[in-house]
Amino acid sequence: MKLLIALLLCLNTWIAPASEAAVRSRLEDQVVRLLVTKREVDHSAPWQNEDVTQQAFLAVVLPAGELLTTAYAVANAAFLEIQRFGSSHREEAELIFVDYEADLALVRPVLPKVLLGMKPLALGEDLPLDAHVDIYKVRDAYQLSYVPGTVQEVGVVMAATSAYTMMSYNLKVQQTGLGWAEPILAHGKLVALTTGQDQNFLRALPVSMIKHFLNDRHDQNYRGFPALSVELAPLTSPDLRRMLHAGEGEQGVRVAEVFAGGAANLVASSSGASSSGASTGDGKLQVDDVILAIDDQPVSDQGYVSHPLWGKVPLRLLLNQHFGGDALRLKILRQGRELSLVVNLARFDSNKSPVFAYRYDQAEPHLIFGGFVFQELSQDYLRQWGKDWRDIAPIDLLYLFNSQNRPTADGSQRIVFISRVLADPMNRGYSDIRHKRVATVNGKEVTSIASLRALLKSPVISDGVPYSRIKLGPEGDEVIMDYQNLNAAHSRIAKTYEIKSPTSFFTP
Amino acid sequence: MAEFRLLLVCGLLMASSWSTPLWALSLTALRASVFKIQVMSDEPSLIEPWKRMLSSQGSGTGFYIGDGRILTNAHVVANASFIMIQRDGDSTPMPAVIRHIAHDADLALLEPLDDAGKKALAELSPLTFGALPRLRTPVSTIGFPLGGEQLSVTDGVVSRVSYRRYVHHGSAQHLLVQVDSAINPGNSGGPVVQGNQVVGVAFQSYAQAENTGYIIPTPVISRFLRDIEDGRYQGHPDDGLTVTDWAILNPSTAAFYRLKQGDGGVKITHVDLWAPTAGLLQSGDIILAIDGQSVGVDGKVNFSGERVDFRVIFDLKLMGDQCRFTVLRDGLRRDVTVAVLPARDHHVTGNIYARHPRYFVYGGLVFTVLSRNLLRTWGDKWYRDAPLALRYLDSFASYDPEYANNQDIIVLVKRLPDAVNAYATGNMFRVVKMVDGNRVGSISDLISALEGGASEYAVIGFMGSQDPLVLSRPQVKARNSVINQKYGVAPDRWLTAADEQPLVPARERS
Repeated sequence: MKLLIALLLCLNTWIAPASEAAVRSRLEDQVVRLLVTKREVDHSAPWQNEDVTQQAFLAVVLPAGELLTTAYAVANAAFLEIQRFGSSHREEAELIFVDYEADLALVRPVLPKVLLGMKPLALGEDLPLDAHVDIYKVRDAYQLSYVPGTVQEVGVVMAATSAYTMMSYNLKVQQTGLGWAEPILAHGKLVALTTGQDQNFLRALPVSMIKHFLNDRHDQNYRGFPALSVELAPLTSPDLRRMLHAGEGEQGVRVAEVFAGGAANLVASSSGASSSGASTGDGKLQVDDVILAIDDQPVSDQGYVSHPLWGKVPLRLLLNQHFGGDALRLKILRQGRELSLVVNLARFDSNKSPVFAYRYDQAEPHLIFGGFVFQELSQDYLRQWGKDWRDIAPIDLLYLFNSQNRPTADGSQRIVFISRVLADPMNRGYSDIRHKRVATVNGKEVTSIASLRALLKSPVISDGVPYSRIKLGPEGDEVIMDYQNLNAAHSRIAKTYEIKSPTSFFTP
Repeated sequence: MAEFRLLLVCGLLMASSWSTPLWALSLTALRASVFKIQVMSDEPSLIEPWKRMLSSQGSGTGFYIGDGRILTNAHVVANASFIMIQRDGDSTPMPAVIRHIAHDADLALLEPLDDAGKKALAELSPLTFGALPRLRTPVSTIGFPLGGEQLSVTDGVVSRVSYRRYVHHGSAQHLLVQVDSAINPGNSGGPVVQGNQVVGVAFQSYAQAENTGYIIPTPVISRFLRDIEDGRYQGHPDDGLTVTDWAILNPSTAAFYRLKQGDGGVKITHVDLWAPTAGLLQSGDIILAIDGQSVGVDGKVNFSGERVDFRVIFDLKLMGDQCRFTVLRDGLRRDVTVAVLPARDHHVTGNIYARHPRYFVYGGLVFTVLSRNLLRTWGDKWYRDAPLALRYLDSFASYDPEYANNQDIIVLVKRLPDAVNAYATGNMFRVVKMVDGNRVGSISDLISALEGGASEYAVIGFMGSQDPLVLSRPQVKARNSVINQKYGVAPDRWLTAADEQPLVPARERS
């Protein structure tokens, strides 16, 4: 039996088509291993880092000595190395450019000569559904092997590194352990880059998104990927259609919510002629507007548009093809009147929502006051509860994440909470507090660690003693602390808990 | 989360026989008044609330306390459709009915259904009650736990007196006593005795620990018996207070309030709007004493020689009593006298025991109220599997200004498919917030808003969603009776108080 399996495995290698073997050997001069040493902030103790880990990805050689990989590969990287196939040498590399929203990044070797003799991999075109592709993965660290795959569907999924919904292939493969920025080829050209895997389904960024990123990056001013900054809801119910005067049929999707500071608010308007009478909009999308068409493409009642290659695709996929700052033509229905709008699309920024979507390579804002550890709520914090974090993280924090997380105009609004209390004589009686949102400090709303720091600097005075009153939610507990022994307490805490960064502590 | 379990035997578990030796003289007298209680029950359906679900069978223990009454746990006889009681040593069981039931205190009084039974009872000597048992004193638990058919007696000692959650209710907390003897399913409702006197009723255990049984102590039992003296049960009062224990232990905080070490006190963080304390006590008050008893920084008072939560004092009062809180407010000590009254109607975090939960079916859409039983339809791990908004409101509704005043948290639990509701599928298990732009805080509000609205379209808005459900009122009106007939919905609404429970099993009433 073992022999048979061994034989089959060999056969599998032998019967790979000759052209594939040629592609593979050529590809070993077009792809490198990217070895990433990662150092992530310890989100439950943000003054220190997690243990250093190492992960291996792939990177594709582009013209001018640049290497393409995913943003996920370089996120929280402390040290980058590249290794050519067939060589045991590791060469230091550096990050040139990253777009976490799109999950794409460019790196290069510190010494350009490292890539001598390597050739750029040509970029192909987007593929139709059911197309067969070759996915190249690392085998035993020195050579590439290939896994066949099929394009199962095209849709939008949230990028691995942000809250942006990005065009993505879903590929059917018979192997797990993929999703580490492996190149996907068809006819010897790059058609996609893998971004993650769920069992037998492999997600990959189509080459049109890679070109979007590369072309954008090459004209100095990077514009990035935009969003419409509205929440859309299906308009399938005939009753709702009649109420919104949307007529019969299956065209038009409802604007359910308009976010502050987004593209839809910053619009130029123009008159549009239509059969139902020309009219000029007031320049903003509104709740209960019905979007009939986008870029002259009719929009269905479930928010789908027709794509020349893929057929029915979500409207958001169309937005992926635009750049931040682009003008978007919309045809809408407002209270039964048809209007034409031109909307200036703004570059999407995941972190305009109060709960931080990502914060790679940056210190995590926090403040220790009398042993109370204040942090800004982030998805990384919630992810500490493991793969089921959306179900088992503290209910109130999840509720804030799910329902109090709309983007704000300037994106500066944060949710501040006490993650824990570093027990010390100063905070006796309060040391059980965990995962509690902070509502107010000294009667004023707290919107960030910076605002907390400022509010703590204006204590209330009682009997000549400065105090801060910290009100917590949702139950309304209040912490009252004076400043008299604050410095002594902070020295004790720094020593006991080995907190080496003095900036972690509040100083009056 | 599911830390406690009830001590009721469900299904037929009696197999082996294992007799318990007589261990003391007094037991002979006591056991003559102990009954095995067998119950057939049917529960209301939470998702199709006009129905009741098929019978299940369970058993527990009860004991004669005089005046033709047998005391047991509420959870032994809750949702009972038929009850049989059988005295230890008697060969024939006799039918019984519920005279009073207290779901909050997990106590119930039964009486024989027929005259023969009443006569048999009259010949028994009632068990009498002692005081709150002291720590480390021995107690014996008498009952019919699983593992045999005969009466069982287990000995143990009192290991703790505390104020904790009664799992049958789901959220109410009362005084309870922990004992270290084995208390098992079937013991529920059985007497726990010290010498010749009953000091408690066995009722729940702690699933994660060995040898932790809980008993309902005499102060809670005697409160129940006094409550029903006027013929109806009004229940434990709810103080509606959330306090921060230990805050005054903090030297800064104590100094801010000019309290000295040893002054004690707990700080009120929240007062529920519907509670009898609302408007009298307020957030920020420091409770220094209750009825003259000093409250420590741990929130505890001396109670019959033990230190227990100060709320025990309020909790054991009867409606119409008074309770005097000594609080520190704005730097001044003051006495605040609270008249102990029933709470205003409000969403109760707990289990519903009723013929039916409140509900309304409109255009084939089934709206009912949030309860612990509804959450349990998501299974044993409901606290992670149930929708987040429901779990959030279960924990925090009384603190969230949007929902604090709700009488009901209204949930859309089912769509009975029909053309009028074909597009409602995306709103399942969401919480109804508004109808036609107006807040609805109860099932009755919902009914008046949906049926009384003048506009052609009823627009139902849900919590956390910008995607309303739109229904055509004329079409719903035209289809309602057809839908209700097709799916057997009758009646289409149920509005009586959530805790209303028939005192006589349904089979006897109808």
